[in-house]
Amino acid sequence: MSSLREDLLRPSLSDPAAVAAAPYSNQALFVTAFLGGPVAAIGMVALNVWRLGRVRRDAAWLAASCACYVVARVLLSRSGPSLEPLLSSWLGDGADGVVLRLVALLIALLAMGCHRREQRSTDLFDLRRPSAWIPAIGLIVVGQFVDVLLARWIA
Amino acid sequence: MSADAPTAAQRAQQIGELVDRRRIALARDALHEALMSDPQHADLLYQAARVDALEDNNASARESLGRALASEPEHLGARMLLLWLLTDDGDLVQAEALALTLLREHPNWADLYAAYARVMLRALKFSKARELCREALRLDPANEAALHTMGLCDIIENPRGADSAAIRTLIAQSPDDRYTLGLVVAALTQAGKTREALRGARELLRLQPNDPHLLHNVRELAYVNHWSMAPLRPLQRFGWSASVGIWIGGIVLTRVLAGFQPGLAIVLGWCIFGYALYSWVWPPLLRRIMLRG
Repeated sequence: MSSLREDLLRPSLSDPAAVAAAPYSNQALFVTAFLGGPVAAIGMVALNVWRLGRVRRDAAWLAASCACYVVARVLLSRSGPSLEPLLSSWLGDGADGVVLRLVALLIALLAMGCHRREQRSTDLFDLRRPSAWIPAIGLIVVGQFVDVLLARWIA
Repeated sequence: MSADAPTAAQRAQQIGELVDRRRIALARDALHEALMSDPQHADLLYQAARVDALEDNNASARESLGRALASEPEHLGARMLLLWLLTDDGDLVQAEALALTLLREHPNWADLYAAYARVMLRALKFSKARELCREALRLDPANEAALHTMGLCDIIENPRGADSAAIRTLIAQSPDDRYTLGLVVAALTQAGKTREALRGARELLRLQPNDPHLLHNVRELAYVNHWSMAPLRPLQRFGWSASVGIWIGGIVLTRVLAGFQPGLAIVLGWCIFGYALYSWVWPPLLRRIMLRG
């Protein structure tokens, strides 16, 4: 019992940097992912991971999300003639954009699931969230730019 | 001064009873008079801080507590209230340091474990918060502060927070307590049972008709329960995850359908677009109308 108490009474916040800050809202994440694509979605999720002090816990799935995006981009850019008719027949014109948007929304959905306790806690304690306008707009622009660059580089 | 005149400590006790009964205006008048004759009395300053804290004036409350602790550094009530205010204001490093100091002095006081649990919950350290609540409840199984914090843990960690055992115990123990009712309203809101939450919020407002936060809460819940918001219930229930689901489902379904039934795909596409537009435009408009009224 005493060791349990000793554990409980060990400081958890001695380093001010270890204190979690209120995350960006799920609305900001959704809009950024929808308009900016996977790179912007990963960027917004990474910002939240850093604010919440969950870098170690979330690094693996964030890296997996990056890998998924790169694989999707490579498949869409490299296997053009073989994949394009198939995707076009299923998803119509602009299938590349649709697939990338779906990847971005799936990343956002995963992040919403992983950070649901933190988001709910922020709402419940009525914590002041940071304004998402500048990072969201910046990430949307950078996300689209990086995607175009990557697509050209792979092709 | 007559021989029957109450001492500052007695006056502080009387004022404390007024504050307990939420007779804030009376308490403030009595404090004004008492502090004129004894401005540095720790108990009086502590009661002044309680009044300010109840009126959400945390800065003034902390200033009074600073003066109280300057004249009596070991004042337990003042330090406990300071711990509460530090947590409320998000000064969590200081709050933790104070909680640990108090726990070293009073290692078997359940309220302190509950207060430290609240600091941890506010710092998003969910498992430590829960462990601290368990320790508090081991020391005092009926401790309301610990049950309240455990209830908050349940609401945050479990989407069906309304089923929390801690909240059930609180309801059985003190059904008319405003903190219990507030917790129930929060649990029902988080569980998506907004009609029941509105009933609870109205009851809470009836108990404290002058509380602006409660009035705002009732208005918010009335807006959420407005008949025109009925089509948006799935989005309210499941939040942005539902929006993502609708978009993914919508994109895939319309694109796939376009290959077989182009006409139907167009109708479905417009329906989804209309629904999304309604969910974006109408709620903020209705909210503005209802919260202004």
